[in-house]
Amino acid sequence: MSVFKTQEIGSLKKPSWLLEFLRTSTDEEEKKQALDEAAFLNIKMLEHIGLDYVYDGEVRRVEMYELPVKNIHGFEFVGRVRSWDNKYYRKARVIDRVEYVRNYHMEEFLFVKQNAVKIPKIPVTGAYTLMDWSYNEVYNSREDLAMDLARKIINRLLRELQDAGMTVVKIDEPAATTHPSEMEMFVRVFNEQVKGLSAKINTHICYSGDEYASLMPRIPDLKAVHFALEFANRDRLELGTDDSSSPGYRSLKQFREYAGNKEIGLGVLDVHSDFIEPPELVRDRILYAVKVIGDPSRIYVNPDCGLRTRKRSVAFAKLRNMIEGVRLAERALR
Amino acid sequence: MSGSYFFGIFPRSEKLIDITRSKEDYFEDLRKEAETIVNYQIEKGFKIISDPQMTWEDIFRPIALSSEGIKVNGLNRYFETNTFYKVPVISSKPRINEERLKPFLMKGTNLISLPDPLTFACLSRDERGSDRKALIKELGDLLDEASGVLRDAGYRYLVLRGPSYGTCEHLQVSDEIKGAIRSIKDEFMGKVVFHFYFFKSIDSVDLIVSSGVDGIGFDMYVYGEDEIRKISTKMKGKLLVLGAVDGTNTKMERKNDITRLLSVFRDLNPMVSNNVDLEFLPQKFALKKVDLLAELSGEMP
Repeated sequence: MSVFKTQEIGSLKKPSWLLEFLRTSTDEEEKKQALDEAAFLNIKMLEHIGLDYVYDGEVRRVEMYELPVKNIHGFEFVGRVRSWDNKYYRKARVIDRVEYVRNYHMEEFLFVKQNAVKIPKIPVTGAYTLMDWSYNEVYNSREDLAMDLARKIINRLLRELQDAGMTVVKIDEPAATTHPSEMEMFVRVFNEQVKGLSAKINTHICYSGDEYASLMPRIPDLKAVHFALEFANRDRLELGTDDSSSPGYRSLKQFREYAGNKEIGLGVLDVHSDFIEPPELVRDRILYAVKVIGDPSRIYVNPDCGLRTRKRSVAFAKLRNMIEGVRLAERALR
Repeated sequence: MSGSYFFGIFPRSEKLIDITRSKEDYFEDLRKEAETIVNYQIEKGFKIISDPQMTWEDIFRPIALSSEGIKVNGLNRYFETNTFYKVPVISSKPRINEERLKPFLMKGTNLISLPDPLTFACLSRDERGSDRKALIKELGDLLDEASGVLRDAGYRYLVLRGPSYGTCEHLQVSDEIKGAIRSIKDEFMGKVVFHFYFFKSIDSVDLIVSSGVDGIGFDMYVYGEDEIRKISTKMKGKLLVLGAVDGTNTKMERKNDITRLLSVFRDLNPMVSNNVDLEFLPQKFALKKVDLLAELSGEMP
């Protein structure tokens, strides 16, 4: 019986053969078949590696913002904006009040549910992030837009997925801590989008400019039971389980203070580096978390964020070492 | 100074974005497109021609890359935006290398922006320790040297950008800030406008007024009209610049709203500008904002 549950954080780089096929094929049925095969491959790879919660590597999605925005009435893409250097993201503006058009995750969810042996954990981009990453030309306030997205789009989408068998959802809200002064609003919006759901609510928040200082005191108010957070990218690479060897994980102490019995999804892999974390490093990061949090059953182990930034070979090597590190940690605790 | 201008980093066109995604060295492509933005301003009748700073990957990079004693390492979020900058890491007293800075400057322009000393200090990492006063002094000297290079390159207007005053402790280092800005102003010799944006920092206005700058700009999406009215009584004859054209939203401002705002402050003969860099917009929307600024130039009371 394993002590720590393991999971991924959604995305994987698309296989090169798939990208080439999608570029060259004109047969829609064949394209769908190729996507099914790639999704199946990802599910089975993640299960083979040994993860407890899996999905399809988000292989059917363009990107976490573009897919929802393309499928919600009221948005219009306006162009690319620079993130840094020669990295850009497409940005949309809100030109009409948002309306539900279709459940843009249903097809992929049903496929994963049908083909996964392990538990499917569906990633869904949250309302606050969709609002924050868009230009608002219609609503009187940021909260008005976010609330409309929460009530009319995300909540409905989640209810339908729940009716179709969703038992765990991971709501991605990377923008949550971008504006610390809006944390109260974020809580209201988040809770509105999960209102009435009985599925397990996880959330993933990453690359927090303030190392989650603004989030932690709000954790008791958020209707999520699980918080998958990034730590590894701020950590040292030396082994050890004390404070000095684990600077990237210092906000765990705040989590212990505020989170009650809620679970932590412990980011142990840096998704912005090709460095393959050795199992011993993963082990020590987990053991440090056990020292701080206490109850190991509240600790899930995962990468910092989606691994789509890395080559597939690197991503799978990292995940394999993550599982090996989990086993080492379990042995150490016995 | 009168009329309108824009400042800061201008966004890249979709075509240029594709170029930067397809090849390693795209510096000349950035310069070529910057030239078109310079010509665009001339066609629109601007008297103050802003360097679109399109070769500036972030507000620190050319200064950091042109300086001995500074390297860049690691990405940090640029305040509450989805734009990131590479952190300047300071290992010894920085000195500007004029020849390395020159390629980042656009001929035919007369306005450029630089980070103010506090913003530079707060968003950098000093490997030698945490003596904030000494760091501001050193970075002030560095910006001082850079200002001399800008002056010699033909710039006559300098916008010192101060987004950090609402987030970074500055009252303990106010003498150092004041000294650094005064020194930059003396070295530059042209007009210097200090621009507050992103966060409100009313308690810093006195400090900036006493630093010798020629004007002060405000992000009008952060400061209310009433607050500017109160602040304007403390400006002691400084030029007031209303950052009323929003670089964070594609929504177009109504010209009438801005002309009304300008008329409120008619006695101070205000200028109008963008509130923050236009790089947070896709280029086609940034150009519309520039068009509006050009139209407003003729609306000055």
